[in-house]
Amino acid sequence: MNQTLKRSLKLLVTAAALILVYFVLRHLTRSDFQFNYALGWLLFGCLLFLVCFNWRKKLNFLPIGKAATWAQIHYYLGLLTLGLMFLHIETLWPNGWFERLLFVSLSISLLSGLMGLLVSRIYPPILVKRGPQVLYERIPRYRREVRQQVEDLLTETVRVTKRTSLADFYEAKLEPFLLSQQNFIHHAFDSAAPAHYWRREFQAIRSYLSEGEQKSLDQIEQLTQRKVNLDLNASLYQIMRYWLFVHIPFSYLTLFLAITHGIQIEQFS
Amino acid sequence: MTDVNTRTQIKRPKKWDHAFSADMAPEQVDALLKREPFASMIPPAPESGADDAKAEKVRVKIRDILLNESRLLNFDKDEIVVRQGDYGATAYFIVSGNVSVLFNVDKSMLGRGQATKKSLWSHFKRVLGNPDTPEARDPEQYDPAGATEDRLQQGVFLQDVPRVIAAQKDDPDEMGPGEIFGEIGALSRSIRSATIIATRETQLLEIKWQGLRDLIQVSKSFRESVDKVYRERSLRSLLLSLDLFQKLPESALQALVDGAEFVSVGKRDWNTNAQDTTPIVNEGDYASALLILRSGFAKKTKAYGHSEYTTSYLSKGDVFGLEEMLRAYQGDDSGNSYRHGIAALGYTDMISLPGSLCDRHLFPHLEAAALDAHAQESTPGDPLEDTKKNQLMDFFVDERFINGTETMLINLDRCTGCDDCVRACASNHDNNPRFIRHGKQFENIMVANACMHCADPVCMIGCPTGAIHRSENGQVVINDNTCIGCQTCANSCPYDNIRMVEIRDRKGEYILDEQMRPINKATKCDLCYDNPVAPACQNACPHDALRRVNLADEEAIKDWLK
Repeated sequence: MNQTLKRSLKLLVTAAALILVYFVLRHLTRSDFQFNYALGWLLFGCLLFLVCFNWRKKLNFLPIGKAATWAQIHYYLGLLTLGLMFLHIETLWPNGWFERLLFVSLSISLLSGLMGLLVSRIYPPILVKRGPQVLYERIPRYRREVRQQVEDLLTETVRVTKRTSLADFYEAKLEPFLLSQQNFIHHAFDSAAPAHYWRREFQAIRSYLSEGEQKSLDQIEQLTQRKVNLDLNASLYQIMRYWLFVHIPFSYLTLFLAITHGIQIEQFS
Repeated sequence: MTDVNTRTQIKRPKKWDHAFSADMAPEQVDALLKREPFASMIPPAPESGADDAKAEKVRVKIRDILLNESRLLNFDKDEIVVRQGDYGATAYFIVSGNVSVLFNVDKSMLGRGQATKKSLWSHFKRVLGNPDTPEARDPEQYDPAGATEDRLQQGVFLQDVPRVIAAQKDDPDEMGPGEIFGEIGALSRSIRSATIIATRETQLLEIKWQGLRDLIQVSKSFRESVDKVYRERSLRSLLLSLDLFQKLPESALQALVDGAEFVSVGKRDWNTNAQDTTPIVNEGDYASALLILRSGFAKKTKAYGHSEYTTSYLSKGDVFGLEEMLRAYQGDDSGNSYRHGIAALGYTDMISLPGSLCDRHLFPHLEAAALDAHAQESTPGDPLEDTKKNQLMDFFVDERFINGTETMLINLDRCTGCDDCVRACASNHDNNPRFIRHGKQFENIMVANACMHCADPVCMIGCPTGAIHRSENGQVVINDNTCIGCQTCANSCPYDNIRMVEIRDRKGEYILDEQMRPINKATKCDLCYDNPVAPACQNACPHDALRRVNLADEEAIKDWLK
């Protein structure tokens, strides 16, 4: 069975589960309040299980299944939770401020999760295609190495040719680019614009350089394209890692708000 | 800054800090030296003083080896000494009594214990108590007093011995005092090829393979006798492990063993230049012998255009030239020459069975159907298709990864770089990850820098203390207590998967020796062999992007990559 068919089946099962939950709860409860009350507890159970995935990662010595299996359950249960949330609130925008806070928190948590799922499926093949792939932690070191190599080349070229055109180009254009990570947004959308931009810049200056300088320029252009690739790696890895800094805090906030919401309902309904 | 004088200091670890057994008394060793085979290892003391000193030097050397690398074990009647299929790093000399050699005993009768796994609670405690500093150790664990290993699974007896013996194809071989066994597994870092039981009360001298290696270096006559026994027994056990030879009568098998030739091709230290290939047989050569791989790897090639392409790879136990020789035996002239060439990848050990020997002792015993099946001309594949199909395997072979049985493969199309695998590994190893999530790449596949638990772990060859060894289940692991930090294993590993680290105490200060030099230890992936959920890296990957795979199992890899 191929991946697409598998995913379609899982989505179908999730949708069927949502419909089943709706009809079973409607059948078992006698009023809208009871229906929503039961749905609320079910939603809370789902939230708790979703958060458990984070705990499972920390207790990986426990024989409770592979993380990959948990991840699959996490994705589809997340989708089911989204459906349950809308069934529970019965509208697109809840009434009370606390319920709105809970709704916003849960929505951010679910949407960030969905985004995380999408980037974890879309970005790795881009990195393979645009290779070579590098370790995220080593990118600052590689970036320094690129800059150092460019500066060494320039120093040598100026010494030999006694002309500063290339050094001027470096100071005006290239140095700021080589100093830090650039073009985050472009890379996030897998745009080739940064690579094209530098190709044009190098093309523009090439005709004003001597033969010796042009040889150095070729090497500098290669190093610049390497820097573009390092920026791509850095940008994509940052998105693949840092979405969790939104997802996890909001998941715990949602859990906290859901517990508070539950206490309110139990106490005052 | 911490005052150097307050730093934790321990004695620099040395070979034989930890004797194999604390119970091995010098008097026992002196008594052993008077018995065979040790007595004949020591040159007879002549009249002249100079030669007398030489004999004494040898005697002291052997005495030290026995004192530090061996131990005496007593076995009762029917007690199991070694089990077929287990990994072993020791050989046994029979001091008194007798043992019997059994093949293919039902596994359920061998009383094999479960590998020692830590409890969930101890793992939980470990995760909670993982030190913040890297490579932290408790200096007291390096106290040299006491033995390093205990005898595992004491007192397991083979039940219903008459029935087991009756089930054997031939009468079991019996061995007596002065004889040695277990040396194949010990010297070749491979699994035990037979089960050995004591047939009456028996005393054995168990010797670590490092000790055996040292004894071989000390005594030429011992080296020759071990070599002879080793070659004959390993040859017999290899032939018996192959379907082709299993139904042969004993006389035919013995004739093949006697007439077989050992062929070694390539450089033994292939790990220093992993790219070497050495031709063994050229396509079109006269098909004079049946070749069986004993160890190493070879590639099977066929000429195409101005070059040749690889049709498949051969590993231990694979047979080459059977089709051609059988066709020649059946009178077909087209069987006179090899239809493929083979080349050794690095170093390859082979057995060559001459055609005349096979015609007399092998082929007449094969059933007609088997003869026809083996002699059937294999359809040549499309060279270009074969080349495309083999590209991934070619990559593994070119980089010599094919040696790996638990290689860490990462599917880069799925890997998000989340490092959950690294964290899981670290949490199982006191906060120290034992691999680097980086390595050589082929298209979307990365072979990460993690110990591959090789079929032939060359890292074990030079270890002076036996700290790096195979666990019962075959994982290559390092005993941190007996590692002396000599770097031999790290230098021998062709894949750079063993790392030397400078150890610290729990306060984070480096542990130093008497000369204030840091103490080094070798570290590597141990496949979480004491973890109930192993390996942690594979289990922790949420994207199913990481697998530990046997690279010889090409189909499983392709299935996973789909």
